[in-house]
Amino acid sequence: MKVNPLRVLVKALILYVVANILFAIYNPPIGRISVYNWLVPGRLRFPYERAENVNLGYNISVFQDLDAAFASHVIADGEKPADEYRVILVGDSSIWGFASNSTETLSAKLNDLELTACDGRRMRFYNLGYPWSFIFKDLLVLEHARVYEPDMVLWLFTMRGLTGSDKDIVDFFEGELIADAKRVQTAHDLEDYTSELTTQTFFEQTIIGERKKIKTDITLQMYGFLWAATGIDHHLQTWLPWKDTLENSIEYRHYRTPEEWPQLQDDFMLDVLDAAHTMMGDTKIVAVNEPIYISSGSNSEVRYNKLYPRWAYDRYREFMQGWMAENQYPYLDMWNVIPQEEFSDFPVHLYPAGEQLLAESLAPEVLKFSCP
Amino acid sequence: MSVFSVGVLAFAAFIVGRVGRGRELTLLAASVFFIYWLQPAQTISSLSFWLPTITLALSIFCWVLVAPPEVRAWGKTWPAVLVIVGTILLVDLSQFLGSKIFSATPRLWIVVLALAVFFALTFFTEKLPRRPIFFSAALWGIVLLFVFLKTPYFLNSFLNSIFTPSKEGVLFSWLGFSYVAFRLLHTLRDRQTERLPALTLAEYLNYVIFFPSFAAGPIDRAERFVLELRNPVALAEQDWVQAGTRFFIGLFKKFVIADALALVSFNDALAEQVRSPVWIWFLLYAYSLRIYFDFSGYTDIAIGLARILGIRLPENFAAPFLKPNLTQFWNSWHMTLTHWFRAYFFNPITRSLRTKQLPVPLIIFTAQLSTMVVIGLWHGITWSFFFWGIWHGLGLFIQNRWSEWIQSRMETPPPPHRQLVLNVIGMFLTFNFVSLGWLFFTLSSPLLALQVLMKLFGAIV
Repeated sequence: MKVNPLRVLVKALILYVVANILFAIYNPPIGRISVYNWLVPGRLRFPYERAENVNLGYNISVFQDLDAAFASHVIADGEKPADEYRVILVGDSSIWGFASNSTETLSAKLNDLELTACDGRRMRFYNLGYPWSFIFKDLLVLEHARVYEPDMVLWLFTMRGLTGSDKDIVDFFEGELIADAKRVQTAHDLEDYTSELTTQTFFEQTIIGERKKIKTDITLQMYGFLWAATGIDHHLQTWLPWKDTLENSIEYRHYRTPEEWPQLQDDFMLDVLDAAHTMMGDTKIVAVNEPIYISSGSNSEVRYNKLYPRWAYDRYREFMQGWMAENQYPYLDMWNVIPQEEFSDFPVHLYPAGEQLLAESLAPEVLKFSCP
Repeated sequence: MSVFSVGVLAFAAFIVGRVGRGRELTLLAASVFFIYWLQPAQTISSLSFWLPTITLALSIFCWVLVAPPEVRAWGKTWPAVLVIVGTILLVDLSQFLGSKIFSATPRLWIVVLALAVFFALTFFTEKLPRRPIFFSAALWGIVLLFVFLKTPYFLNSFLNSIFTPSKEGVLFSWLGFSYVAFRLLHTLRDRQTERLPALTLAEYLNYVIFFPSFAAGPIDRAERFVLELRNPVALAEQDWVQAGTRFFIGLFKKFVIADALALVSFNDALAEQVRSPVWIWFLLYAYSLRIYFDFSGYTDIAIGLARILGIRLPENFAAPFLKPNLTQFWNSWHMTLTHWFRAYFFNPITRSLRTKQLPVPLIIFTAQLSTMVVIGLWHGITWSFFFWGIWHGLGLFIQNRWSEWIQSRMETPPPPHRQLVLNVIGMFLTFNFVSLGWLFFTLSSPLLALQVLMKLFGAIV
């Protein structure tokens, strides 16, 4: 058969354009197409790896596509069993387990304790933490997690998360996640954390526009095989012993004196906490103030660690106790339950032994909260 | 090479392919330009310029040796020299445009001086009478250079002696040299045996540095290539479709399948980390498929681009993983390389051994083993590649003896359905044998490869 190459080329181009247009119109949830929980086991925590370690940790960050992140997680593995009391943990890198293997994170340690809820169901804990201290990000995770029918939410954060220290994460938001974020903000009348982001243009929704996301999703699927083969989902580094010296400074972010407390308090994203309780309805949300490294070295009389001056952190703790009680929100303050030697590279990152200690400290409280 | 680079090459092929008069010289200019453009950046940055220049210098020097006087006449040569010098100077002058098209562009006077010295030397050499010793010296010179570059100990010692390495080490990559060396050796040897046709400088260089096949083959033969070059086939509509199809299939194989499989291909780290033999098998198969799709993808791209230029390059792969035995596998895997070795190593060795009245099995054993070891060492002179060669040499010998034995006992060929079953079993065994061989190829030490080999069969190491 004689073939005219020009016609072939034109037809191919037309097909390509049509495919792109259809892709943009129907916006297929490609993130949900996953090898996880089917060909390979689901991950025990969300996919995440620093860009420079992607090849070593066999993992890639896909937070911008929460569909893909959830589809790769073990929580998406079938229906919730009838005898399971489901607890999801949300929070920052401390909860994700930056200094731990996936089987040594806080949620894994809680699972190891084999707790039984008040109603006799076995408690199973799911790690839905994700590095970055920004509780609005946690709210988006919670919104997606609702379909997995959690019975309880353990929400661990620290003052950094509450003041949105890592709110730059929104710069990494793309596509659907921007739309989700804006929708959640509007629904719960929240401050606009995504004001500088615009929803996708039509072109950005085409195959060409989404090529980076598609590549990331494919990479995540391929790494699923290495996850199954090795059990490795993170390149663990070794850190030098902690240098217990602090600057003689009482600054917290851009606040320089205790007199600025009212302005600092205004930064607290309390509307996000309210929204979470509204969003989750009957599901109990237990907020936990994360343990921090408490220094005993030079200048420790003015600072707890490199993150927090004492004045700001003390006021924060006092305020949160009051605000949570006032709103009748369950709240646990675990700020000082972990000894210095169990912190790794950052004042909220724990070694596995620290995760174990925290799990043991949390367990009795969690059991109590599991009762009506 | 990135998709972008391949796209640029395709565009260039399209343009150059449309040139009528002066096509040879236009192709030469494009090839010279691309060997500079494709050369990766080096730790010693100026090498990005000098390595392609040395490639050209070596090629011109070999041409001076192999070309008969009638084609060396200045009247026939000057246009090619002008194109080469002009393109090199244009590459170097790009520094004044403030562009970063090329990784390195030395000072102009240095380049002019280097070119002047080189052409003076070439002119002097051209005047010398052709003695057989020159050909042998050139052959061995290229072989020694090849050995030096492919031996990590020699190369690293040399680089470390002239450069203080950073923690990333000294990056040294001479793009296309492995293939250029084979083409040069082929022409030198064929000139010795007087089988090489007379090639003008433009024809010779177009053969050696032909840009579609410069980086990853196939390794064509000069006499075949030059026929196509001299008589370019006008592309019919059907040819365009075939060239385009081949090109796009190559792109898909390389940049979609191979690059995705690369993420899960077996390596040193995984050899330690993988928890079960089943997964090691899986990752090893992924490596096998990746290396096939990567290499055959590049070949498809090269063949497609060359076709657009009106030149038919030889095939390099013919469904090797569907072959029922190892001999057939090697007849369909990197075929142009195996043809080269058959012509210039296996056949001469076999002929030489036959004169010594040795038993046939011993001749086969020696010839196959040594050929495969040399093919292994072509990838790099390390123990790993040595043992990879041994693995395949032994495999070929055992398969050869087995076939001989089984055929001597079969009175009639098996019925078709039985032959089909035998072929499928053969395919399975061949694929697994080849895949296991990759352990020596990909892992950094033969000992580690051996450990993994034992793990694959359930041994606790």
